Amino acid sequence: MKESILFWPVRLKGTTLYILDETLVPKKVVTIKVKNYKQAIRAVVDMKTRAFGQFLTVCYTFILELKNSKATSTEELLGILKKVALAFNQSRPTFPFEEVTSMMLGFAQKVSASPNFKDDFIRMVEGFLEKGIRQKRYERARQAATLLKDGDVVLTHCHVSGEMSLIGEFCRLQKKRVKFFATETRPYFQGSRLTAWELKKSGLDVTLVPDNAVAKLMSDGDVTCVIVGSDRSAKNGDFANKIGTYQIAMLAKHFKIPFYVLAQPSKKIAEGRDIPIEMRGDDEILTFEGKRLAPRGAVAFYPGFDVVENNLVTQHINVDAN
Amino acid sequence: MQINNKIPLIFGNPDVSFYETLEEKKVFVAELRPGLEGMNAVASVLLKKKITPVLICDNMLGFCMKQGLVSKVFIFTHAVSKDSILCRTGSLIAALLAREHKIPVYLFKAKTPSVSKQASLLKIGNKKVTASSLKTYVPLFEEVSKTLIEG
Repeated sequence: MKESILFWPVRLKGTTLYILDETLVPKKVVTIKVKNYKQAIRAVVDMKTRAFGQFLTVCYTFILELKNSKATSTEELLGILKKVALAFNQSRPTFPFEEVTSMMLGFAQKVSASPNFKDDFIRMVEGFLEKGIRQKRYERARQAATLLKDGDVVLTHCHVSGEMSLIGEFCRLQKKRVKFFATETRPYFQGSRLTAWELKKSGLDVTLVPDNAVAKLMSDGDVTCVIVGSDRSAKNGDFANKIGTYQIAMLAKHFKIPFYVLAQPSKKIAEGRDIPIEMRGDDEILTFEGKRLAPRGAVAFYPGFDVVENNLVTQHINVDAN
Repeated sequence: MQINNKIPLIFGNPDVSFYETLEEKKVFVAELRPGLEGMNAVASVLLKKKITPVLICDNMLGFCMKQGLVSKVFIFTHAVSKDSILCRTGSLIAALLAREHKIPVYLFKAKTPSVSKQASLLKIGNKKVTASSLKTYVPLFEEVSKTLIEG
């Protein structure tokens, strides 16, 4: 099955990490070359990569730093990994960096007694990414496609790192005709630049709509279900996702439209209210590519994410990486 | 920008008479994609009247209401029928969310839209956002039930 370039937007070749600069897609397909963890964190903070890309960046950066290190003792190497973990944990608040870095440190502990610590750790992480992640994401997309009926019209918000086009591909295999509406997802336009673009590139029927058109679409009967991703999930089924997801979930409930979330269960956070919400700078709303959009004197308020309570979710479509 | 007290939310492009009724010195203003009338026209009028516009994207209404940051919601009518009013698209989102969060919704007259070329969803501030071959749907108006309006 053909994958979108956004399905696996970070790759490690030798001692260089290639991170797809998602802020430039679709105008340009450019990768940022990353040589160490500080550069990797810069790419994360600048939102050059996001969501699943952040996850891959963390995993591969652990491998990268081990490959770069001239240290020979396991103790020293573990110290390097702990330093990388701490730096990622402090980078952005909403994404569960601590859960990912804890998992990586857990892998390191498991092979810490091995005389080939470095090689064994790298093999373990690579195996985890292939079997624990890639195959499970395929399975999640297949499950989502199974929920859809022939003729369904899916509304989606933000971007699910290549998984929405995979859902479309599975629908094709299952002989179902499915259409998509993608919200543009201000202020970063992940819906316009990534989701709509990749769905169209995959030959799927997609229409881009402004974020303010969701109730209109639902009240006119133009949407039969909603599928969104999750940036962070809580134990009770609440989840945080890109700002705007909460109001879509509320509207779906009002208009009695099924609301599905592609999620990864978490045992670390009890409820959605415990998920920290990242507040970002005014300029990200007030300007675009350096051009001021609003009059001088206007200010902005920019929460990066919001939380959807589990009672608004019709079904969680889960992939458990553990 | 931090918001410490509840403030009103403006969703739409009001007639000039609306601004005379506004007592607060700070208000949320939805940007109104794709034309950005909220970000430009509405914000400019507010600034002239020494009122600070706190701009939000149209997808942030729910967050602001859920966080208890919105005191009341203003939407604006372009036409009225027996049971509903015709408003700028997104007003229905604002009104339904307000009802859910027990926030009063008030209706005022909208500014008459000027006859001009409709803004493209593929651009912002004349800058291209995404591939020009994408199919778009931009409904400008929608009906809001009168039952959602307080006054």
